[in-house]
Amino acid sequence: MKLLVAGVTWPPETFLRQRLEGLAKRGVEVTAAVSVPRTRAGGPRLEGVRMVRLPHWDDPKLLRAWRAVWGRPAYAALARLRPEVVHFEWNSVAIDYWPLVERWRRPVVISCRGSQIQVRPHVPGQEEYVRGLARTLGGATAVHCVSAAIREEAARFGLDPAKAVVIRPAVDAEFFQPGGGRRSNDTEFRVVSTGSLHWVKGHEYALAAVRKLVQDGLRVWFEILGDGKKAERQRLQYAIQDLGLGGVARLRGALPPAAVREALQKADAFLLASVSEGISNAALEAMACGVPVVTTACGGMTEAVSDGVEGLVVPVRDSEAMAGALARLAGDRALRERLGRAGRERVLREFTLAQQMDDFLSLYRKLVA
Amino acid sequence: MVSEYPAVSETFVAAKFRGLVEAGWDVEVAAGRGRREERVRIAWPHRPRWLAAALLPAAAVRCLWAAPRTTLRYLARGWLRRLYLDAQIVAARPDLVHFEFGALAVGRMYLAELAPCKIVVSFRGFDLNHAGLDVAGYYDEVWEGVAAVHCLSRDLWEKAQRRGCPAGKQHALLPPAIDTEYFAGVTRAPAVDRPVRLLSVGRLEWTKGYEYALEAVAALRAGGMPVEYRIVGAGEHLEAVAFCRHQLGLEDCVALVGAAGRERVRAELEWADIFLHTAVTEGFCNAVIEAQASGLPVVTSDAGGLPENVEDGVTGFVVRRREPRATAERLLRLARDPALRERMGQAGRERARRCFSLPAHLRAFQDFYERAGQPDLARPA
Repeated sequence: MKLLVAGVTWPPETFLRQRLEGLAKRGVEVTAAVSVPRTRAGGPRLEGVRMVRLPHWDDPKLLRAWRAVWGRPAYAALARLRPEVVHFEWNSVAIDYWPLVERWRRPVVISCRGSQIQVRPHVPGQEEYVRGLARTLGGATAVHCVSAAIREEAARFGLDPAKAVVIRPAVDAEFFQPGGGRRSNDTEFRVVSTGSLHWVKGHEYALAAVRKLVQDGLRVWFEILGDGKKAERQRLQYAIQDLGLGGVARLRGALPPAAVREALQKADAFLLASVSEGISNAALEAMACGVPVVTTACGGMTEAVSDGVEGLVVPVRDSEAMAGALARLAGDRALRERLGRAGRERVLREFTLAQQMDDFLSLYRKLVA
Repeated sequence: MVSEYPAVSETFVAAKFRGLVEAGWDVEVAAGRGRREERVRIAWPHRPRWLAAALLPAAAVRCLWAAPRTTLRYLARGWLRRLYLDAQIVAARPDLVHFEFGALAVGRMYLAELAPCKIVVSFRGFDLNHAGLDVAGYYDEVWEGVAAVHCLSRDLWEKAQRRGCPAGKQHALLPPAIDTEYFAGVTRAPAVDRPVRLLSVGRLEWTKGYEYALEAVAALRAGGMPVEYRIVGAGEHLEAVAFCRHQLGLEDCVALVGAAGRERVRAELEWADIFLHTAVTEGFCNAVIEAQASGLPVVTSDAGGLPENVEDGVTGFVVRRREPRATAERLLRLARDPALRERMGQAGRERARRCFSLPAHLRAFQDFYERAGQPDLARPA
């Protein structure tokens, strides 16, 4: 089967790399169309995946005019690939390339995964985008949603739920494993948060929650793994200083997967303070490492974490509830261990790469048949 | 790098040098004076001056020949670039250079010696509150080189000292000033049979803490108080603010007006009943002064210089930052009490005229410049 995956960001995010390489390993001829200009900037090679570079439709006008001439061979090359299925990984990319799709007449899959459905349509000035959503979601052969919650949201923007397929994200549970031995060193309660420094992650609420714990006399250590734009980094640096958390909270920046795993293995709890999520891969990784999760009830998070089973679920934008849940975990080792164990079990049951790969393969096969 | 090679008193340099070479290291010595030998580079003559000037082109050619890319980068990023960026200042031959924001002065203090001039720096908020927090000693060279410091508020002056400014540094605390007359003429109709109207004016940035304002408005609504809320301003935090409005279900009563000019702001001040400002970090905030000048009661957070701006309980209420519930409680008190709004608004007008009017501000600044520009007794002018 020939699959064209359009709009792969570069370097590709881990979940995308794992999936594309996995599909290639199972005999699918995968071509990744990379729309970001700097393909030669390095990054990992995708094993067994063919790469094509596509011009970006969002470029300034002059560049676009030049590319209308230069770009034609690239489109022709894509057409010569004769993909049997085209998969757009992001709504915005599907909207960009829709004119092309209408000419190709191939089965099309569009992924709906988070902010592009939950946030962007609600921003003033995005009316054109909302119209694009209706056009593409209406025209797609099938729509992949990362959670049932996203499916409900997308239905408001023109998705017919009948052609939606919920395939939840997956993590490499071989790689993300609990570390040996006891976690807590009994001197401080270690809380970890992973996620880019972006406002959707609600890190400021997390810091306010940590401050409440400190005020209540708990010895706590909090670290945020991830990087982001300068403004957001400044915001959090300022919040740490302003809330008097200089010796308690730390921004550790972007870390390689092995270092993320190490931090998770040492953690007593994982905190996801997001105001919006599809389903957070970061939370799934923490669960795979056997860390009890405190998460907000945003997006599809309750489809991965049930309150009191794999973790504790709190309302969004509620630092006090977050602090309460963390305090509960801090005071109850048996609870931590129970939730952590259940989390790993749930990942092994519902969020494995193999299962996800099967789901995608059967989706593609159904479209081709 | 040594000044002389081989120097009699520093034989350890030569011994280490030879030892490293024997151990297989690639070491070169750059010396100001000395004996030319293998692996030792002696600087070109500095004196007499005319000889140095005459040899300058030769030195440039030599560098270009030996390391063309590095030389070009050196020229582009080094002094040539500096001269280009500083061209207006050098050509103006000023006695006094005033950096209006602290962060602008970082890396520019050489101007004091080279221009030559006195340098004064204003600190207005973000520069002390969150610029360069991850760099130790970010402002050290500024404290070293600056003739005088201007801060918008006492809070900022305290922060400056915490970030290394010597307490004895010549400084002035001058709040911003506005054209109070322009806003004094604002009149508004009493709120009868309509929702109470809240207004915020300020760029859409994380610093302004709009999420907390929206949470406060949501709390008001949940308590049964009908409200209308307008946010005037544009910025990169628009997405976050718009999503927060959607998530809290406030799309029907909160309007994101976008950027507005002076006239429009005045019209919005006329429209509103209460001014709301929930910043998490702030210098002093002109918008809050303008609101007071136009006779609006203000509910503000206690970030930065805001407690010095609004007189708590007189021209408005000051509440802890990031506390939407406390904010909602003060809003409710004002929303229910038109007479209180009127009284606080009137007090605001008077405060603005008394403390933040332009003529007094200008006099204070002239004074500040004159004192800062006085020649140093320690150094011959």
